[in-house]
Amino acid sequence: MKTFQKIKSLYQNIFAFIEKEASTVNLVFFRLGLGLIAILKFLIYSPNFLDFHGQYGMVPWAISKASIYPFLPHIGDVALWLSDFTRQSLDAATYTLYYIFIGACICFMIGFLTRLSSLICCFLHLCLIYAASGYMYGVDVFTQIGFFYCIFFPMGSNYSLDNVLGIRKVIRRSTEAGILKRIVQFQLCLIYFSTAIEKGLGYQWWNGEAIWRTFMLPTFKHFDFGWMAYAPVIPLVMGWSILLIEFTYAFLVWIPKYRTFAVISAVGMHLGIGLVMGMWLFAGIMVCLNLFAFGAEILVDIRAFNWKKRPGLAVLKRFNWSKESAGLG
Amino acid sequence: MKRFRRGILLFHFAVVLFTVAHLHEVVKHPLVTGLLDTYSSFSYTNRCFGFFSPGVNDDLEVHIKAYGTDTTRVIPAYFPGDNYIQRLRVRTMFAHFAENVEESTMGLYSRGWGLYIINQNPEVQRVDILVQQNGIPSMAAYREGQRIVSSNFYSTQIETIEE
Repeated sequence: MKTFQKIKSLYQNIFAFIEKEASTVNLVFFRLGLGLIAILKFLIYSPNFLDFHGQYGMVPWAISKASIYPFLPHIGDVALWLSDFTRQSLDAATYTLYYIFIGACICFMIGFLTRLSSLICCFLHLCLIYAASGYMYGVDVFTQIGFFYCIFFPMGSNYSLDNVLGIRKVIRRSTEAGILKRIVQFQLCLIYFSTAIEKGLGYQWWNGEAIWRTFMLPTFKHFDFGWMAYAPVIPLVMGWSILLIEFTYAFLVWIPKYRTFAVISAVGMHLGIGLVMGMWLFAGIMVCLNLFAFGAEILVDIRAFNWKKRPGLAVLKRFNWSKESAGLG
Repeated sequence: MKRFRRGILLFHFAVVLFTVAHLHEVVKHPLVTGLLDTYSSFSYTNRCFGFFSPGVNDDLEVHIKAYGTDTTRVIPAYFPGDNYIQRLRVRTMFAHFAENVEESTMGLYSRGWGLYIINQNPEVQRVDILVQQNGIPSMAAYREGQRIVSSNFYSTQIETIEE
């Protein structure tokens, strides 16, 4: 009986932690960040869109369709239906879907028919990435995760066109906003923790070779890092730092004293990936997720920081760190 | 409503944890794998997120030569690469090509590339595809003078069929 009570109390505590009210301004940030990254990642190869997603692209539909479950959506199926319906060529229908996707992303960002636009974004993004699973990397995975979550949450409850047009009432704080924040927080913790464990299982991250190889791979080569072989301590320290940042993230973000450090380290790591490997979009989506998940808490932590104990940092105090000033109050 | 929402949240994180902990590789029950795969296919939330782990592999380079009826003259043929992100996508495709080193997958990809080049230019009748692997030397080997060595990884020829 006692054990049952304990389990019940644990269950109540966990959900009290998850179902905490939060500001809906966070959702606006998430909407804008996610929408912008989704638009950018397709705009970048807009003129060559059919080379990547078209019927006879580098990975033709026949192949991409064959490599996924039959029940999954594929841009080919939708384009075929659209071309029958509108009497367009398949290529034109594919381009039409591309424009619909961009349009839906813009609607999602400005919060116009937000639920519907997030559903269209999620569905078309899924169709597009299944047609291009051959070129898919981290940014696509995280964008899809973001869109999937957005379907279930009231993304347009604040600072949206829906509010202006009276489609949706303005809600400044909501439990749903808090739940989404917690979900993304947990998801990030799991991602970093699992990737740290998996990296740690190999020897390359412990002896610096992983960093060395990443810098030397022709795929990511922007600068000549050959000199690094003569200073092996640098990649060694970098490899250990990445393991440390990713491994400790899941724990430190829950301790107010270390949260800012943990999140800034992770953001710094992603910006480094953007700079060295040129994966700016991936860096962008990860920074967006991190700031959405912990940005508001970091503002609170900085505000509560005892500046008198750290006179060297007093200059930072001049900045107004209040949640209200950031619109998160 | 509250109970329903909580149930969904518990299910969601149970599925995410199951995949992240690689339990799907142990529990092979068709019902479990079916449920996990379906959920993952739509949500992408329960994926293995081990980027660049446990190590960083050598990367691949694809060289394409296209020919018309005159097999002594090479017709220029390229993959799109107007900017870095496009080139990164193309390079990612090369990595996916060799992901499991399965002949069937590599065959499918190379046929796709051949078809893509043939569609670009009606003059093309044959496409020679050579995939090379860039072997990155270790830091110690680099200090001893070794540099990146390209070795042949896969090659094939795609031809149009006269009817």
